[in-house]
Amino acid sequence: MVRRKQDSVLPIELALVEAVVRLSGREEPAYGVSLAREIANDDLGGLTSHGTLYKALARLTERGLLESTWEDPETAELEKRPRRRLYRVTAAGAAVHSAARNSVHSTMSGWALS
Amino acid sequence: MGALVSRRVEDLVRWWVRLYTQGLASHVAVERREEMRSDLFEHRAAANSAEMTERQTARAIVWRTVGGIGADILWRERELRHAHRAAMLSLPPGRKRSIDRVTSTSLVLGVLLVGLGVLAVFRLEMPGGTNHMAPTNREAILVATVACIISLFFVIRPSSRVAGVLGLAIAAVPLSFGVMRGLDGISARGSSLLSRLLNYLPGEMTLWALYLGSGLLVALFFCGSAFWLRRHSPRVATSTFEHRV
Repeated sequence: MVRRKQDSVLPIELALVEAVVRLSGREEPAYGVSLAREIANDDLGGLTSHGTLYKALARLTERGLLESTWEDPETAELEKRPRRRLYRVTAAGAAVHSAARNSVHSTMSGWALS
Repeated sequence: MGALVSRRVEDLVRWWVRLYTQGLASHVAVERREEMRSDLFEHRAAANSAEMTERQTARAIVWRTVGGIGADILWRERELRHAHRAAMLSLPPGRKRSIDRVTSTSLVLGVLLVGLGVLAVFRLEMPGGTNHMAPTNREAILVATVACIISLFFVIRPSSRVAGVLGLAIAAVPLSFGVMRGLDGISARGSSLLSRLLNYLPGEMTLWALYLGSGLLVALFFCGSAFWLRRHSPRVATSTFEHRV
């Protein structure tokens, strides 16, 4: 079995970091389903599978690119729903995100010049 | 009707989550179960707002679950490895070394058994190989070799190590017995050595004692190793299947 490098970031992981950044920018809570919807452009039929989504989120949290907190149970109780696990981008996550964006921009400028 | 299907699907997803999180560290299992509970609720709420039918929602949830089964299993394996590594770190160095030695010895002996089985199967299948061996003996060697390979896989995984070593113990008896009985067709040198030994220790009983004894000796070693590993391996507080959130 081919093992990937410990510090490599998969496209789904980058997409998740990007989704957390976008949701935070709009001051919306970032949790499992909201992140899946953000990645799938709100297409409820095409949400990321449970396993892929939560495995990627676990790996990002473990690597310190995201941090998670459980929502206050009282808030969840008031809204009559299970409590959410909320994700935030850490400084390391923000650095990875901007590095990925810069690399995309430089690749696109390279294409434009050639 | 649609609502019933949808509820059944959600029950099935909860069952799957309980299944793949059982045996993990309690806090890890509880967090995943809670996160999935929230996911199912939020997915349904979003689907209701988007005026999706119950069937469409159920289908989407099934696809999300089925599509992620591989990732769920890989995540579980990783969590088990993490928990084992953490538990091993808490052990005194001497005990950790002993566990490593017993595991390595079992692994090496298991690999040797597999090698012996593969060699025997090849030699017996080769043209000019033995013709007088009963087909059941060949099948026994083949089945025992496959069982050894599967057991080795279990030995590699820390969470199933004891079961794997016990599996090797069970497979070692028919494998050794089959190889000893078919030694004529497997190895000429081995066969002549056995004949020479029988010159010193004649009798049918000796032959059967050798056939069975070789396998039993190896099995006894594996049983001892499994018992020792069970007693000395670190234990992690794990969740059970029944634990609901």
